[in-house]
Amino acid sequence: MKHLRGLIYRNLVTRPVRSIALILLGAVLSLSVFTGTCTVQSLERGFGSMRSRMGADIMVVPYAALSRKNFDNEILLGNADSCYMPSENVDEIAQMEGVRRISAQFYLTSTKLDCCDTPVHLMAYDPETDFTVAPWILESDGGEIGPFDVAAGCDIRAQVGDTLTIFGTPVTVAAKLDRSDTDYDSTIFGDMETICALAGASGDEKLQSLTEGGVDLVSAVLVDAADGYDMESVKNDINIHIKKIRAIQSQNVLSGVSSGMSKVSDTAKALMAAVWIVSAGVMAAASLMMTGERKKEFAVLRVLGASRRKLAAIVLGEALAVSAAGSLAGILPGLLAVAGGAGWLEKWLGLPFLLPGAGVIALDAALAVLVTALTGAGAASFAARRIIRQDTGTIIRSE
Amino acid sequence: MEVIAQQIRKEYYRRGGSSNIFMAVEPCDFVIPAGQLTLIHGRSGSGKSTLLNMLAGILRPTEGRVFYDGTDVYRMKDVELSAFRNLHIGYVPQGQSAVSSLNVLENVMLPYTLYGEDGRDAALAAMERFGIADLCEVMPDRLSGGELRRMAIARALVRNPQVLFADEPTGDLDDENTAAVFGTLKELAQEGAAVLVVTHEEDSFRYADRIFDMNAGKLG
Repeated sequence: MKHLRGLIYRNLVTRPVRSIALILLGAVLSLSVFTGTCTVQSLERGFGSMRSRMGADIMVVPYAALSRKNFDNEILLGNADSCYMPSENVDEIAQMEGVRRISAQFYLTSTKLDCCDTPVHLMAYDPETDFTVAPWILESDGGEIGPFDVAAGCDIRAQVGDTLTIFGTPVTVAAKLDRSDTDYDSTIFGDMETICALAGASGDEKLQSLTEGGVDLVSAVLVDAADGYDMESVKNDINIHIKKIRAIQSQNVLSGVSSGMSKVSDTAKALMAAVWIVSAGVMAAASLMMTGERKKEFAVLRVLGASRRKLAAIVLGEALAVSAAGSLAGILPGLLAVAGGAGWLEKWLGLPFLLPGAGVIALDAALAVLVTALTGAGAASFAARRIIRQDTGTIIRSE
Repeated sequence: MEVIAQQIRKEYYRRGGSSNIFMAVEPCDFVIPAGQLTLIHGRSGSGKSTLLNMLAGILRPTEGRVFYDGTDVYRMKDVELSAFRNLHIGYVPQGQSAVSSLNVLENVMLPYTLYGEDGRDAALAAMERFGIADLCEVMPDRLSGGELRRMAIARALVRNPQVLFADEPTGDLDDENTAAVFGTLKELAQEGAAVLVVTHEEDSFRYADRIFDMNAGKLG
């Protein structure tokens, strides 16, 4: 043992119960900071993802869809729905004042395929008018989505250029979508001709009847308002003039989701703050108790030539070592919790949840380690201050 | 190295009692000459440890100055004074003073460790001198009172200090060890160090070059 580091290490290992307790406390703090930060970021990312998918200002859906589902959490999160409205509604909406562009979508069915663990949704859209699927394309063959081409969600196990066989009909994957953490991830988008062909090949009479003689039904119409028009007025006009449909302003829907997200996010932040305060308090108390017990030892170091700065370095070094060890110990379960609990949390919260990338998660982990280590050192600073102010001559004589 | 104290006194503030001020050491001049063993004798609570601590540079006097070869130690910055203590002053505290997390060898090496130096050989030599060389790896809680005391003395002497302070250094020792300790302190003085020992044991008088009595804060 030639350095103060050795003294710090020996002080920690000869008091294993106290050291382990402080390491566990650091682990809890680090875990809460890491998982809390990841949760808040995932919610924000999920919301941002949803907002970018909502390239439309207004969504028009069959009125029945609203009565069957919680609109905020189902349709807007990209969940497919089997309610339909006549396709003439599309033309009516397109001709209304204040509408700049529209694009219709038609949900056919959900079916189990070899290429996906969960049921795959088959959705028809118009690649020429589409402005909500295209932003999600991560990789494509460079061409347009034509007949018997499909755009596959990220959970579909197929790459661009692969051939998928659906109801015995081969289709080519012409584009792959980015992860959205919505039903888009397990959806195959094709043009009307492709989806009709798949319905015909399905052998399901209900699906065949839906598409017989061409599709004259749609599940949703996505609307972009023209510049200078008030979205609220355009939405109201659509609701007044077209029967059995419901136009919903994206921002209104998003504000509901945003409000839910804010509550969860605020709760996560409050929990993090509470854990931080309790941890800092316990760490400070532990440091003060430790220095109280070792007053004579510090006085001895002082008479042997330790400066006040060296005594502070010992106290802070011990605190930093245990809190850093604790913070690292908390990161591993944190990573497991984040990786394993994301899906469960999304379902439980009913909010869009999109984990950040590996780089951001690594930064979050580094932040959690830093916060925990600094909290430990900061909490010990009270004890360090007490030690360096103590009257060595009095302590060494009286103890 | 010679230590000279000029009109040093120490007062403590305390609550209660007839007066709030307690005079631990009355103003006094004092010299610890190099090459001599100086002894301060007095009863418990007489102020002798307080005087020793002021002279050792670890207890700032309420008033007065302490010079080491002409340098006023209480005018030094803390870092300077600490390094000065480490290099030039040996100190044997009263009572148990081992660092409980370190073994005997590491305790004796501490003055070197604090400044990142390797003091293993010097520590082994000091331990040999006091008959505790076989206790290198033993933890302090396994030592007897006498062994702890010898360890503290070995640690105080490990850097061959020019000034040595010892506060009741033989309190836990038997006659044989007491004689050995005072013999060593006397040797150190004869080698040129300034040695000050505070004790209440009159048996130690025979080793001293100079003896002072202290009573109720007054140095006689």
